[in-house]
Amino acid sequence: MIEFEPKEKFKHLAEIGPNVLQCIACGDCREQTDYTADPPKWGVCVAKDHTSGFEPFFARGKMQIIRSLWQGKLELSKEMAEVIYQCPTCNSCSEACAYDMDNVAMYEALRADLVEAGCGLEAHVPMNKAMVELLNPYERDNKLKNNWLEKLDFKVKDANKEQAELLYFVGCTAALTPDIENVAVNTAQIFNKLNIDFSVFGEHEVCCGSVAMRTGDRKAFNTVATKNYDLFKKSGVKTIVTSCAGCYRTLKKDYADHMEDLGIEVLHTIEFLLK
Amino acid sequence: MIKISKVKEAYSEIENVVGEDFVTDKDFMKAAYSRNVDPAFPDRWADMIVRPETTEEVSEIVKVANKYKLTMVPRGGGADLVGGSVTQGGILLDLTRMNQIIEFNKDDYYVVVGVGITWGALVSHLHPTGYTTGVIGPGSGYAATIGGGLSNSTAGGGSTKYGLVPDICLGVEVVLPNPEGTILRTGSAANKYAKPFCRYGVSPDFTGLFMGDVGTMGIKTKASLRLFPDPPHKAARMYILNKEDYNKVFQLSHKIRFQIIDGLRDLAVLPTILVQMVAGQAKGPDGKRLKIRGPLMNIALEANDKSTLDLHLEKLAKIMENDATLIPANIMYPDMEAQPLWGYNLEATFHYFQASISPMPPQISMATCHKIPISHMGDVYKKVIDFSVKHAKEMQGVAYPGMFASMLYMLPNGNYVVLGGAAGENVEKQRERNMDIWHKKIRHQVRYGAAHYWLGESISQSVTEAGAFTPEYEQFFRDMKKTVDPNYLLSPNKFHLHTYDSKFKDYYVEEED
Repeated sequence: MIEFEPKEKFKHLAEIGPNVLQCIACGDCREQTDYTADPPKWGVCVAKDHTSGFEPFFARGKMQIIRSLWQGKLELSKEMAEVIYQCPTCNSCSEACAYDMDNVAMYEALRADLVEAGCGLEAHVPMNKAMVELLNPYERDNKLKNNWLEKLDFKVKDANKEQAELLYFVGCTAALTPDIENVAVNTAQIFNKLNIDFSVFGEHEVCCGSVAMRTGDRKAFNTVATKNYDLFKKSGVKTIVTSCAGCYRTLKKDYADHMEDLGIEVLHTIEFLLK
Repeated sequence: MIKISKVKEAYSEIENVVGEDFVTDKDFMKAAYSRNVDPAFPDRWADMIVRPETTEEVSEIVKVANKYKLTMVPRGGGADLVGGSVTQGGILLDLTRMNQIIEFNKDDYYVVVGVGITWGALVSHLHPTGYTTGVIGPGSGYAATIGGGLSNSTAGGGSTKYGLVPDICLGVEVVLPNPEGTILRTGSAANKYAKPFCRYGVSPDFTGLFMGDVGTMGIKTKASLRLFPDPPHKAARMYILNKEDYNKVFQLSHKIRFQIIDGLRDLAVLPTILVQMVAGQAKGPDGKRLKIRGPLMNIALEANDKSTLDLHLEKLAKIMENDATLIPANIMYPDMEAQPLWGYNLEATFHYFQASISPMPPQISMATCHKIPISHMGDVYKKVIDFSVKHAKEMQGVAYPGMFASMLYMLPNGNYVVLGGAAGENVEKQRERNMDIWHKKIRHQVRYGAAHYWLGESISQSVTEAGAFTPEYEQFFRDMKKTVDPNYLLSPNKFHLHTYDSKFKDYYVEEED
């Protein structure tokens, strides 16, 4: 009889460590609070209104699934994946928790294990494939990332060729979505107004890999992360600023080791301006 | 043993009732519902989990369950600390879809809700209106449901003044677990011409049959709750007693209750050792290290105007002056102001409680929360310590067995809830041992005259094992159960009430000390 070894079967969950067994199942996470609302609003988890509301749609249920997998009581499945991927990974459940739980780290590890077991969602495959092959997940020509630059009445340095004090990492969404490219345009205009020496990669900017990390495709993520590591290293940049929440999270947290190795500080635009 | 084919047929019929999106028998769904908040029960997987939306759907499910003789367990927020909302096999009824505010009647001071609404949702709806249910939810937190509060007869924020959750209940709509799936309304609504505005005056108080029943007598679907004007002026004060003396806690509590009367909203006591753990390094008002030699009394007051609140605060200071020291609240709760005028922000109370359930993961508390008369405080304190010393060997590896309580909380008519328990390792190999110790401790409490806070499965069984019920009471209980649940299908493990013919004496455990 072969003894069940969770660390071998669920290697991404194993990276989280003993926290996978820490949930006490109290359910506070089901009622996470938006304290920014006046009066505070209870029950902000989107699972409440946009799913059939069974436990696995909430953090507590996912934690019990993870525990059951870890203890060899349950198998990964495509049906499970359909539910696990409903979560937008905002991590407000973690904020509600009285304990030291990084819920999203566990959901993402579970997703990575699902993908490696062949249980990932088919819908994510073309997105992550495009991210690796075209350098953006929107299946667009990456040259279009130059378009927003044409809206500026000043020239921005090309990070591939010119040194600058900081790199503005635009992100695929702002660079490729006409409706919101004003985020990139306005950010650049603010930097210019403040006489900040900055550069962009333009059509050579590689997706940060956020969508791959969130959807559990670690192979795709590692591919673009390595490309970005090489680009950042070559450019010699020491400060990266981004206006994109997804890129910020990815560069700051998921690239933490790379950034430490290269001595790069990652800031959101707001943080940079406050500084 | 129920045949799989029967379960499948029942599933198909229930699917026709609620629709395919709201019933499941998938393994990962069962696993997600397999535990409550305890380290003792094994994982338990239901045969299916159903999320009905209406009373009529619950009634139809009950009919199917009776047809195929499937057991049923109702579940609210699922934060049960005593194994009450999980089932091995049978149908688990997740009632959180019944979460509507059906009638908010400001004129007549009541609100009718679906029992699956959470305290968080109801309280946050009422908060800006100036109305309150008084008691605003149990220690299980804001994800707990109204139905759970009624079934477990829980206390919570506001209970020192407003009582237990059933004390604010004016009546319920309930589905009896019989083959007909009978739907009843209790309280004034038992009169088919009346609104659910009061509890008594139509028939005997059959609402009470479904209060604190831990889901054994019926499946509540709606509840009418009292509303009160929420007094706008509130303040909280923390005092540390000058010595470890629970008779003194009783005397001071009695005085506060007698003199401040309805100005007293909450009175909680934290044991000395717990205060020392939290605030042992803090500096007191004199700038020197705080001397923590006794328990902490945390007192919340409320009034309709500021001058009355000030009078309450003066009285409190006078009562406490010789026996306790006023300390800044932010020593215990850094986010609070030092002497808060405390607009009750609905946040602090229950986060305190949840954090104390598992102070050292993976240990989880085996809750033994129970009520005692306040005059028994000193005596019970000694009994708890004696029990821990006597059973120290078998409790090795269990955390805090000798801690009197994690908190004491005063209720309206002169009794205290002793909140707490012992913490066991939340791992498979320890579960049986945890359960043995847990039951033993509860039997001890039953035998010193406690009435428990919630009952669930572990505590209700231990009450039976301790021989609490007289034969006459047992017969009455069985007959009542048979009247509402002739097939004994609803929550059959609770109280060891498995069948009409089973006997509590078969589960009796001799007094151990």
